[in-house]
Amino acid sequence: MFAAIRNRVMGMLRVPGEPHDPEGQGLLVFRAAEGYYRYRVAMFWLLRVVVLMVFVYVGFVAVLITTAVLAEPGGKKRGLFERVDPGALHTVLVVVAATLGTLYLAQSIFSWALMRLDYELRWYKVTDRSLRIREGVWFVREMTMSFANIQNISIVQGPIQKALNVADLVVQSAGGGSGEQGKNLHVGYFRGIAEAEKVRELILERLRRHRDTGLGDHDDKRVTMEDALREVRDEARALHAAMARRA
Amino acid sequence: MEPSKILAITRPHPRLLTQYVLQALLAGPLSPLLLLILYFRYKTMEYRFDEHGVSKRFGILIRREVNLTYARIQDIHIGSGPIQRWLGLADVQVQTASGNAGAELVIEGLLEFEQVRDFLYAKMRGVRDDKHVDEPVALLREIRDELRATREALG
Repeated sequence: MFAAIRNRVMGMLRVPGEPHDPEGQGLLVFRAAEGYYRYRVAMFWLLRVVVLMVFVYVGFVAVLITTAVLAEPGGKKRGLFERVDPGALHTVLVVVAATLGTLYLAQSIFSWALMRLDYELRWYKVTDRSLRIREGVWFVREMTMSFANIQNISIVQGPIQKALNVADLVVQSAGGGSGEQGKNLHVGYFRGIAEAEKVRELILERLRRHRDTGLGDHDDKRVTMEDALREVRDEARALHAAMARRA
Repeated sequence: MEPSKILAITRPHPRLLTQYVLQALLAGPLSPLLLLILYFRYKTMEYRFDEHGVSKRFGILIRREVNLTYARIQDIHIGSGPIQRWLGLADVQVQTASGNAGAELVIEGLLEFEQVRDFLYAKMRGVRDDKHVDEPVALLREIRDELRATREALG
């Protein structure tokens, strides 16, 4: 049943499937690891706990303040709850709690589904010339970078990610600018991959093999050109010699 | 898709107008104003793909024109929201190495966004660089073979 709902929702949102392979040979496809999903769930619950704590604190302070304000000077202190009809208060509280609870539950399910889909719908494709990152469910983003433009590769891993054995590999191309996280289009994230070090080594190795990475252009191209020119010169020389023999 | 078909692109698909209308409706009280702006944006939008680069121009009061050379393209993104996907459209965001964190050129409203991306990508630096070298080398090899043939004909 879950699969049916899932396919229905994905069909409605027109979420595209696996991205096309980028240009080049030696394609490798990386996916987010199971730990990434668990990391997202952990962060989700952490946030919920923090929000709940804030709500409890605000509610506590609000009750304290109203009690203090409503306390009649000189007379015996009367709290907020003693002033209203207990039956009506009870009904209001139950309705409010039920509404909030339902909303909370619905939102939880929605967020969970979104996290699950976000985890499943991630592709990181690397060839010997370029890489392609696809992510997103609601907004789908697909980025393509050629190795010729990559400037820097780094790994980011927080404590929870470390415990779950995943890390983010960050690939930067020239330009940059100080866009807020996620908005900067010059940065690509391989989010939540296992063995980020291995992937980094692999990309670095392919980068090194690439002829003109960064600023220092190599002269390999000149070599083939010079070889060809030399061959033409030798041939012309041989032709000259042949002509001389005939004469 | 043939590169010649991409070179022939000048106008966005009419569905872009639908996308703009839906986007404007989502803006709430600002809808009428946004609708007007986006309508003229669509009406005046023009693309030009040529041998060396791509340009986009739009605007009625303030005319804006962006020109990019293929060789200067740094990376290419495709982004799409649910409305766009429903209409079969997507934004092709093209960046150069300028200090800008955003895209220098957004090619929007094309059904063939994926082919446009691949077309631009193939022309970008570092993807098919070898071609520029291979061509003269192949020519030189041909000259050499001609010379060799002449020598053999002589001998």
